[in-house]
Amino acid sequence: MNYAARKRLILGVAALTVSAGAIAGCKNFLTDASVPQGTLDAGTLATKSGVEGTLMAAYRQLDFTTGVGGSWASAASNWIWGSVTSDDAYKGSEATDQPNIDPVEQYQWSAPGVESELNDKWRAMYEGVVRSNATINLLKSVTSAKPGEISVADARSIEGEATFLRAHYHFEAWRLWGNIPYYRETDTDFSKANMTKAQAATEIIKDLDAAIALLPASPRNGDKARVTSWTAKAYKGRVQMSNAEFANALATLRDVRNSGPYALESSFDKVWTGFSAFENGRETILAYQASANDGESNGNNANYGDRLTFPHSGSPFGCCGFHQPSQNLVNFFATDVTTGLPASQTNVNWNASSANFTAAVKTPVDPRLDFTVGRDGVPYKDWGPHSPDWIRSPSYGGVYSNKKHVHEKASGAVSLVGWNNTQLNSVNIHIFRYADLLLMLAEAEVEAGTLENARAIVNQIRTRAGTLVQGPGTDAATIAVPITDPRTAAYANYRIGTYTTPWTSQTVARNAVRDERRLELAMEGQRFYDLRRWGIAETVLNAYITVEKTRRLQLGGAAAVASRHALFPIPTIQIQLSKGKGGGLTQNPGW
Amino acid sequence: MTASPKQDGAAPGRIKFVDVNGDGQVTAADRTIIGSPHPSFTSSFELGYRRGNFDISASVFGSFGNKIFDAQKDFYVFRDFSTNVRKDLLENSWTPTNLSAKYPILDQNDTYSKAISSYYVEDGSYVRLRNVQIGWNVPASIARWVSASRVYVQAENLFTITGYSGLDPSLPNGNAFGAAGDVRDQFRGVDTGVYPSSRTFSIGITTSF
Repeated sequence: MNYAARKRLILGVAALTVSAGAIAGCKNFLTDASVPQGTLDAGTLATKSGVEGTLMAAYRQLDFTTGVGGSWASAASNWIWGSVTSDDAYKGSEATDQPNIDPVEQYQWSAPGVESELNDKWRAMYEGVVRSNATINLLKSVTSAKPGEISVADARSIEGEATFLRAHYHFEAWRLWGNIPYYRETDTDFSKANMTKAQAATEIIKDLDAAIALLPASPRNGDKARVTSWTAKAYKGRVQMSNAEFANALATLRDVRNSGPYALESSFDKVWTGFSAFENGRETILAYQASANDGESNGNNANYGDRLTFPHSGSPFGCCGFHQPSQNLVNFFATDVTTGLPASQTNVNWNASSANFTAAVKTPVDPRLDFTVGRDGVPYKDWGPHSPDWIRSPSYGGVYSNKKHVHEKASGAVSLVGWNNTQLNSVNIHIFRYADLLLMLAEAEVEAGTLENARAIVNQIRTRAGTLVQGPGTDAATIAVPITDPRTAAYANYRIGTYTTPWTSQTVARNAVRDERRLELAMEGQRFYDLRRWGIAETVLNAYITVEKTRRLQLGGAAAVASRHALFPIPTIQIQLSKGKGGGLTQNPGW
Repeated sequence: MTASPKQDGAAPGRIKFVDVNGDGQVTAADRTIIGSPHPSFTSSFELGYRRGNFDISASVFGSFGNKIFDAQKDFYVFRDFSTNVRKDLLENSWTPTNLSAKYPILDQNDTYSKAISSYYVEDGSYVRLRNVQIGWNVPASIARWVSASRVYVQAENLFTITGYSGLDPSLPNGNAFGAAGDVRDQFRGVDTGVYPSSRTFSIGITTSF
């Protein structure tokens, strides 16, 4: 990596515009003093606004950008790496669109297409690291050269925000590759060898501890989406859980629950929404701030990484039908008619049906199904009933559509500009939300043996899920209605209950928490990482393939999930680029 | 298959890769340089002959020893995105009864065969008659109202002798712009499907008044 060149690239967003202008017409380019010229170097940016802008660029890398590593593979939602790889979703769309992702779904991760996608993710995450480090370096040079330019409190928060973001980008890479190199602002040699997975986790937590110490408890300038010490603390618990440090995680997560600012939204429809009144509510811990109609002329600040995952041509969104829920996931939402608990816990045939789960099927279901999955005949938020012609290729991607990240018609969150603007919106992409944190806390409680604490959390989540359900969706007021509303009987039989019997077996409790996590966070790019964390990815996914290949032809070509799938292969190009005195990267085992 | 080096996604009819480093398995560590886009030599012949009022001239160009990476195969053999494919894929793809086929098996789930390999690389040598022209100087006795005139017929790119299976081994320049500007130098010998050189016939008259 050429650090100087990359740094110029980061700082030079304006420079791109300038060079484009120079190609278009260079009449007065060299003499017109009002036109910004050349690359923005560190000297030009050595002001408070320069530092703030650089920090914003570090935040911006949370989702797909048109810059380094920008592709569907670097979407904030992780729909490719956390969802398509799991039993929650198919790649969707059709085989010949984005064919590089086909072998991701088929667990053929040494196939050439996968390397290209992985390389985008790698580049995007380390671009995030570079931008975070550039912010810290610039901040330090400004505070030493111009004391007073930035207040001490601001400087501490800026450093904390950048340090947090650096930890996040490394964590994202860590979840894919485990054995990653860690880069801080003082690094000058970019040929480092990879650390072990355990060492890298230690470094991530070290950065999060530093961020906790630096950050204020409430967001700077009142900007709701900025990270705070609570964001960093919550995230630390997440990393500890991911690293199986259950006792440490329990302490961290309990502290966040007991003293932090977070709470669940009152109903599930307010979690993923285009209504600005509900964005960055108390459930949001970290979210990519999608923005539409803000003056950017191509919609590039919107939900770009997920724009392909809307229903296809017959729908109001037009394109492209990626990231479709699996039959397995839809079946998993069935509940027991008496207890309202997941049917999968008591009915061994819960996954027997391969039939289209349309509005006509009145099997009792968890109401979260219809905030997660688009199915025929059921109102799709307030867009009217989902219809078979919204599906691009049923034999390939199945008959269901993705739903959570789609804006409500009445929300006005749709972008009015950009290519196929109907699939661009300002719905924030949740990277970490409070329900996710609570369910991790429940896991930690189970591991600690305090099963009743875990049960209370799971019941809290289930109670919320049973408040408002998908309504008839004819206007803003009927998108979500009480579960008792008789109108819902036309398309669903909603049934959800709490665990009323105390949990006495750790295994039963553990499985119940895991089931709840799947139901609550389905299609949010978490499932595959969870299966890995729990050490059950091979068992669960091979069982999934065995059944699901009878439903979807492409899974007939799936490779068996083996121990090497515990980590993704490091892109060969990155291994080659890392050759140098630092020793360079080594490929993960088995690839 | 069992006798071959271990290869992910191996199946009958798919492309079999070389275990370059001989470790018994085909991985990214087996990547190597396949060929050079630079010719061993290029040559041209300029011919001219005149007899009486007739003249003939020709220009023959040859390029030898260069390799072409036919990136088009990604589309017309391996069906990247929803594109048309070569018509002969139907008859010339591998099947259990067509073992020495020109193309690998038609297999939607084959995500490995399309990896960059020598399958895309072909000898780009060619000899081409770039230009041939036959002219006739019109005798002053026929057309005495003009001082001098010559009529001719000309053919450009009349024929090309090559083993290359793509459209045009001379690889006319395409646009290739990257972040660093013009990156055509990085695409030497890569056939990205640029419109081929056209065969042109012309007749003309040269005169003055």
